[in-house]
Amino acid sequence: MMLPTLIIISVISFFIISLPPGDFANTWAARLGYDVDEQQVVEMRARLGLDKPVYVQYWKWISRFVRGDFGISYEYMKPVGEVIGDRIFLTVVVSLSTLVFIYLVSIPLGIYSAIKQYSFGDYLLTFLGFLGLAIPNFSLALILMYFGYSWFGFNVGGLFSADFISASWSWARLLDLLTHLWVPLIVLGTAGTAGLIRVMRANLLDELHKPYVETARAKGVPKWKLLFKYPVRVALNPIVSQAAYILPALISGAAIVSVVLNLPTTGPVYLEALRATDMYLAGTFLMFLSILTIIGTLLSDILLVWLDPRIRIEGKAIEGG
Amino acid sequence: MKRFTAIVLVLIVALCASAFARGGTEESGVETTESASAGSGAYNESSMLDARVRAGELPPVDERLPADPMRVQPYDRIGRYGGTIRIADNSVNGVWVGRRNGDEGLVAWDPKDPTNIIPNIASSWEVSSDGRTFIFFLRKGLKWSDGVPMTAHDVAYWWNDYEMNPDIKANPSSVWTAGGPPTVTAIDDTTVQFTFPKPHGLFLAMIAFRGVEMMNHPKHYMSQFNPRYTPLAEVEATTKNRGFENWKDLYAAELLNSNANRPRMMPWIIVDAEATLIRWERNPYYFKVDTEGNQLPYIDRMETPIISDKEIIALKLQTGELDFDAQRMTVADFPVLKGSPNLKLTTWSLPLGTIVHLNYTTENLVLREVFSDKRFREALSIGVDRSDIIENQFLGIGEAVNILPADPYGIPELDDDYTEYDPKRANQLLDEMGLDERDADGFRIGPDDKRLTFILGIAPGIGSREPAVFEIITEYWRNQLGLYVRTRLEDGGIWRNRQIQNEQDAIGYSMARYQWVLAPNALIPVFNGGWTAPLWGAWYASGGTQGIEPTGDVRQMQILYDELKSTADLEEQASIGDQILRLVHKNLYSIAYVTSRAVVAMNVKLQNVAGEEAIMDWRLMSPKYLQPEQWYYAE
Repeated sequence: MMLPTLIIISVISFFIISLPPGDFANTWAARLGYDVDEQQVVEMRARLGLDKPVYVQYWKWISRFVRGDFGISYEYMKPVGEVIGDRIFLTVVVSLSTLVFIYLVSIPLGIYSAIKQYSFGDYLLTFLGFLGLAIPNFSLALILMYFGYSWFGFNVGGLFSADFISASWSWARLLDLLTHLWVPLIVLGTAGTAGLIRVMRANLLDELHKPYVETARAKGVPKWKLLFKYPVRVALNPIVSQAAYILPALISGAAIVSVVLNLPTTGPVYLEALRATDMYLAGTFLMFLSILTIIGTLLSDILLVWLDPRIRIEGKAIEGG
Repeated sequence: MKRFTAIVLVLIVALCASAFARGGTEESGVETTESASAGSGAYNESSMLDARVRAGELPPVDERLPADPMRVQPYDRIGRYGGTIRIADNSVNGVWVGRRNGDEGLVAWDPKDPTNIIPNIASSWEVSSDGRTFIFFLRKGLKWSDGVPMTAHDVAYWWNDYEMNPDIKANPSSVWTAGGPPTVTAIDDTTVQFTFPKPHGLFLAMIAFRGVEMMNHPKHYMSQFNPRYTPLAEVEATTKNRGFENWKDLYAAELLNSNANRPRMMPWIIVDAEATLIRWERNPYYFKVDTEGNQLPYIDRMETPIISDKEIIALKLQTGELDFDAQRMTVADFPVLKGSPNLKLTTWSLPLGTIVHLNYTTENLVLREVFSDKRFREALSIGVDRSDIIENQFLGIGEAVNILPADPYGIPELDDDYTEYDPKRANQLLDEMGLDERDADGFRIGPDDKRLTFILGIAPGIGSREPAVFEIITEYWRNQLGLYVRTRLEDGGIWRNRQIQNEQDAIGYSMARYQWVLAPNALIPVFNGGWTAPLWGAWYASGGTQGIEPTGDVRQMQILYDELKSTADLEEQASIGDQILRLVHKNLYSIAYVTSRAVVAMNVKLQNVAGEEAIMDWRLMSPKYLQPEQWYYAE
């Protein structure tokens, strides 16, 4: 099932990238700023093969993609692998730590909000949650950067201080990374956290009033054991199945924030590639995002099976029947 | 309403500024080393290189400099060595900052009066009386940044083996041709001769503007990627190793400005190019010294972090994490930057006019008819209150202009025409030309009995520095003149493509008012997609095989421009330029509105940077023409 999906995605994404009028040669000429001979543009188009029909370009790209050769980025004049290779590791670091941050914060707070419904704490969290959803990420980024600088004297933007940008990995560099990481973590995590708190709260509230909970309580099951053994597990289901979409959303949705925060991650490159119609670079990004989505779906399916015995049992029953 | 918003914005900005002003910083780009080492020879050098000479890594400075190094008169005073200058670059390849601080050509603009041309890599030159032959005498003993001699053969290689090499380029760049490509010969190691089929009147100015293109091909280095010099199999092996498909891609990649391996003539050379930061170090073989014989540049290192977001650049300037910016900050940022103790500010003249080009060859015949009426163009010009734009967008710093460019071709007595706000007369002009009927919403009806409407295409960041200005202009057209005009913001590549395909009704752009003859497209349609009329431009550029032949004054302007290009006599050039400008003025082919000034923010300790008389312009590659190699940090 995965393979045909990927093939279809690759076709669609490549064609969508090439939809806007103009191509990389145009963007290049527009950026040069002076009157560029049309001749130069035509030459560049011929050299890069942009004058060929889109399906020829697609075949050239995909036939090499499957062999692990992603082609050349027109803008960098470097193999695509080299352009994104540097950045992918840091992207994974930022994305995964944001994911952990979101779960660590939102699940306990969601549970709290649900069991203390309509309390002051619940209202406060609801208020903060809506605020978190409503503030645009980029403005939150600017505000946090300013406080980071004025209160703690951190550098503005980036993931490393100037001294550490080209240093090799060491404890000092890791520490430097951590002092910078919290800003993107909060910025990227806030909206997700706020959303998940709401979801967790609503799910749990649904469960808390179901008869089985009342029954268990009447039979004297201890409060906390009851809460975590049944309603919380059920309430987690939708959250886990959403995990599939969080991975790609973090990587692509973080693009604007990464531009604002000047992060050395893949986001800004991806954005730029789309704007400049840097076909192979943009196409490779889209493919990676799709692959991530599919992997995410698979992972969340596996997690769900592990988390929720009903899925296992019903699945078997269907197989058996 | 707009004004109110602007006031609120200014207040917010001012508040932020005072907040930022409180945060000081311990960090600064100044980390100066001891001043000039007392060498034994005629010249002094930075202690950074002195150490490398003593370690035997470099020959002594006297051997590295040419026999007659270029002597640079410092702007204020003799500087001291050391420090790092940090300037943000916004392009992914980290190209422009390096170029804007380091372009070196055979000749250069005079920093005191950039209408003059001064020696640079060439110490002198001769132009034949017919303007067809140019002989440049290079300094003796010039060296590339890797220490290999730089000779006339390098220039000849650029022309004969790159521009004229059909395997790489189908045609040489037209800016270097006049009636056909020149023959370029290295007469000896330090003499190179260009002979054009016809006089090339703009050749020297073109070298001052784009002459670095000739210096991008160190023969000893680039020839290893050129099958004319290196066996094809070998070049193809390198191509494959580097992940390219054909060797032309490899050659193009080697030409990228971010390439650290290719030797240069620039004051600083790349030592390390990370994805987000490029580090530069002084070029030990740089060919310039100050008036006391200290080898330039004064500043040892340059760092160019790649930052695409303008707000981050503003923040980093204030916190002292950047040392210079003349490109990204605008007048609107002035109050914010002013509050920082790390910065000193100045403004440079910014000879860019906000300009509207109507498309006289649009496929929309109704628009074609309306646009061709001069009364319509005049109404568009005087129907806008320029002082309102200057107040709202540029905090009062700016001036009203019309289409006429500034130096060195200005016609001062015509400068104020068409600029005075007169909505009554504007409406009268429109009524007179038969656009007097209006629809139910109060908008004028065109000759086809439908609402007269067109779209102004704008590409933020390409050409138009301030897209908001065009919003104000079209608002005036709608509210004061009853012309239903909308703006459309689009990506630069798409915008340009539309222009070349003749799909724009009209465009908003910035017009170079300085040395306009080097990029004449704003006034005369001479390129494919000429700004005023893509099809007229295509006709000229294709030699009459495509597009539409213009008639009357436009054709006359093209003929005059041909004449201008083919005369080497500067006085005659000026007089032809004057004739062209008078035709432009008479017809008001394009409509210019305002200019402002460039905001220059720099580290308080940075010295020898030119003041308000300086010009921020692309043709001057500012700040390069101001010689950043003689900037230095005070103690």
